[in-house]
Amino acid sequence: MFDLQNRARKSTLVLMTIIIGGLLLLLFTFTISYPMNFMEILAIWTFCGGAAGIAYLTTVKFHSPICLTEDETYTTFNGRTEVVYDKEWDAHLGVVFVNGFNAAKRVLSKDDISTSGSTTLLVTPSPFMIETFANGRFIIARGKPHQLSRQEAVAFLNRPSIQAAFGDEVRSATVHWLFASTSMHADETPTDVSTLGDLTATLQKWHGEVAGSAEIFGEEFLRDLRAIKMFRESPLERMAREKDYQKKEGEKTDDD
Amino acid sequence: MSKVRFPIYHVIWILAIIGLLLMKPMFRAINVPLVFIFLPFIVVGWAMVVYGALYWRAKSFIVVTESSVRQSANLLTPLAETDLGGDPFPPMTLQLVGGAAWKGGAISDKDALLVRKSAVERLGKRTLLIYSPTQPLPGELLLGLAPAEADQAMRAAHSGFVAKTDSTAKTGSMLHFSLLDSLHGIDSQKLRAEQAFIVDKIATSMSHTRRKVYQGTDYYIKKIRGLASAIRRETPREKLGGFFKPSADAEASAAADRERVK
Repeated sequence: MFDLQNRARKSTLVLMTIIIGGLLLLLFTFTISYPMNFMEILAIWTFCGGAAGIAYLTTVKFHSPICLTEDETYTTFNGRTEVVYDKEWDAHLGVVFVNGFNAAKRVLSKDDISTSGSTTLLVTPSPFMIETFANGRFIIARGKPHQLSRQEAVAFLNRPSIQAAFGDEVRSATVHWLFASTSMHADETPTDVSTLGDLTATLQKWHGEVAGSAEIFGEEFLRDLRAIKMFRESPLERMAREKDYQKKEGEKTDDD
Repeated sequence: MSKVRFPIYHVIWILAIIGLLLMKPMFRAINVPLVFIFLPFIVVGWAMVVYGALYWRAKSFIVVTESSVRQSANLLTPLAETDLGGDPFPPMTLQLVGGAAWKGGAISDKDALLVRKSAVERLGKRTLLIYSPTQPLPGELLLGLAPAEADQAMRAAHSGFVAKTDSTAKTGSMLHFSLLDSLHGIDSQKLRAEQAFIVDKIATSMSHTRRKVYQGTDYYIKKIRGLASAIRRETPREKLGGFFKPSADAEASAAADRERVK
């Protein structure tokens, strides 16, 4: 507690020094000027603004919901996933909307479909290749994405089933197909499942044994009272005690 | 071969800078206060310190858990695994996270994940899926939950894990722990309560015990020193404040007196 208060006081002093020093430096730099082309100063500001903006955007994207594939990772606004039945192919397709971002505490966000109706889609030949993770915050699309060419993407968007499903909102899209998965497998059920109640009992037993032996340290310490004395005595008292001890020792040797 | 995705705003940004520099001959030099030249660099420096490391981490291996936490990792190989026959414990894995490795640069992993081995799945080359609702805990508790692995994590050359055993240490690592496995249905409210019990009643006391063992008699000396420093004199500011407003202690004792009178 005391340490914390001391540290807080120290950090306040440091902060005040920084602020006052910074203000003085600011005043100093205001008074001194340097001849520079106006466009150069604008270029510096643009460079620095861009660098700070990109660094900030990275944090937004890092904390956004994401869609994981076997090869790539995409951010997403809310992990929108749809199942579309294509009559011509007689297949249910899984469609994931990606490339938006949305980190609640980071102010910035971008929808998966932009205002111009452009988006990025991940399409799987079966909806079972897509699964949600962490209550839908993360989407796992099992497969390696292969990007379609522009013509192929237009042809895909013009399919009647896709038009019927997204025609109103999507006008253009970058489409990635995930043809096959290398990571889908039957779940292996663990055979060594023990209840946490058993674990608790075992841990309590082990802990009791270890703690019992560790308590010996405490007992030994308490028997040895010199350490406690060390705290109770001030340095002056200690010096006086040592002096007395030396005096007594001296007297003893004299007697001898 | 995977295509390199280069965001459009990066292109616009670089083109804008080139365009401004090309227009230079059309404008004359003006006297600019130094503050306008230095300030943007200070802002960028600050942004790089605060957010720059995350850019690196965003490019590294990904570890995601059922508790909606995204972590980065320097390595995807676990630091330790237990798969002992006849043990009442399920096989567990200790994975270090929080670091980064990208383009020849690396930051060591400073946090740890202790989860059931059966709940871990590797997706592709870059991702680790942990099907466990992990509980974020102080790294110190790893000493109580997996003592041998904690020692490995603290001393392995590639590990940045620091169990905060000393109250004066400024920062400590974080432990994400779970005995649950939602992939195989080992997850319920009762099990979560039992896990919390293990953490509160066993891991905490066990980590204290281990701290005692590490520090020997120094442990008690530190304890006494802490108690001694808790009894302290009031600062002049507090004394001055006390003239105008009673201190929190005085208020509390006055309230207790009132209660007694009732």
